[in-house]
Amino acid sequence: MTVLLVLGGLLALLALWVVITNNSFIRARNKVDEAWSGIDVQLKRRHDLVPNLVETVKGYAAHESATLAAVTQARAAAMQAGDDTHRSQAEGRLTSALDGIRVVAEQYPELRASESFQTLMGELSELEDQIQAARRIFNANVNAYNTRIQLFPNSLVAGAKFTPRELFQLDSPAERAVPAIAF
Amino acid sequence: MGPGNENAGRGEYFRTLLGRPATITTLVIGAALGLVLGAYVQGALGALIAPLAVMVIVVGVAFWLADRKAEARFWEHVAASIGFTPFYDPTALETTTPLMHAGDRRFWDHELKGPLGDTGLEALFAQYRYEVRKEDSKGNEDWDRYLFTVCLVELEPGMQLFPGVYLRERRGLLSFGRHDWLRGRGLQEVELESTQFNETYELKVSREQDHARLRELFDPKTIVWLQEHPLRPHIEFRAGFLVVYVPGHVDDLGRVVWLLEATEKIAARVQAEVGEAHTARSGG
Repeated sequence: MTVLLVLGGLLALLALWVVITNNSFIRARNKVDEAWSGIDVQLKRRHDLVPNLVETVKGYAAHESATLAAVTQARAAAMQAGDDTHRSQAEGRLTSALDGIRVVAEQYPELRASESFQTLMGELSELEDQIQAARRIFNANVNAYNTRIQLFPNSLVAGAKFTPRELFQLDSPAERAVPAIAF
Repeated sequence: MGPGNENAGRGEYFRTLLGRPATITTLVIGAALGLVLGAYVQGALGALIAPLAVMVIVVGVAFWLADRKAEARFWEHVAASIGFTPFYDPTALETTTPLMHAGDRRFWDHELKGPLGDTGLEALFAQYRYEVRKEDSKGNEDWDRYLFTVCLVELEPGMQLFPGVYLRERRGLLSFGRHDWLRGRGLQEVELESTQFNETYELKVSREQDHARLRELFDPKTIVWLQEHPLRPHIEFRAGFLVVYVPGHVDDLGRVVWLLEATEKIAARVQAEVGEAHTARSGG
């Protein structure tokens, strides 16, 4: 009888641990999703800003059509991207394309001096800061979640139900490339 | 260059005080009187102990005076460095937020006021202490002391948007038994999207707080900034008063400046939210 009681007690403790661990995984996963929606909000704001920016630049630098087309295409691709991996790649390309506008602006002093362009670039800069911050929060949450589900014995509870999430990389390929130095 | 903290220069003042003729005269006369009186009252033992006691008292007083002088010099330097002026008005800080009227009695030291960066606001800075009365089983009175360094700004336009926001470092098990000035106020705890932030900070708001507006105030940039700030600034915003504070008494110029900069940043965030809400209301 005593043995049965002890076994029953141990099983109850084990069940309690499984429930608590499972709930902690759900909480961590929800935080990852919440952080993702934080990035999503900022990215959508950036998508909304791009058409105004393109129109403003067009007014001063109409024959920079290649740069403007690249931005428009990158925006469309970013808006249509499906899963997180494709989305981060598409957003990285949009970041690179927007850098192209900054380069264009260097060649057109009138564009640089335009009040609407300055306002839009200020908003873009603020949005990019917010995206970077949201990305850091998301990636920290993903790290916390992945560590939690991968550590033993938590991994036994996680099984196939809780799978690791990928980090959100937004750096443009150009930013990641190692600069070539010629001697 | 001025003193970097409250203790800077104390040793020098102390040595100067000890070297003064008045101190030496007091020491010699006091020791001689102690010797005579000690011998008269307690014999040989009194003649030995009394002069020593007089010397300890004179040296102790000199040290206390040097300490006070170093502290006063440091705070004069702080005020000059940050463009603030000293003032004394306890009512300016009391009854503004729950922290500022916590406990059974409150004390403010080194009160300074001046312009807060580019915000166009006036800030009040002080070292603050509140005390909670307690009694042991024999009825003896004792006081628990809680120290903070605070910076207060009046931001009345934010009162409607943020009826009560309280952000402080999460209190761990070690805080068990410590007085909690927010307990029993019917506040609700809110978790933001950052796991790390939620582990570090405890954010409580009044029940009527608009959560969408709260998340605008704590946007991703602000969350990351708070997480990484070396001071871990705590915030209370209630009835149009913003108090940014840190536990303990800050007693070096660097951290005073950090606290002011943190207050400026948070006040600017509140102002920006007020501006945004105003623009939205006027349909702009």
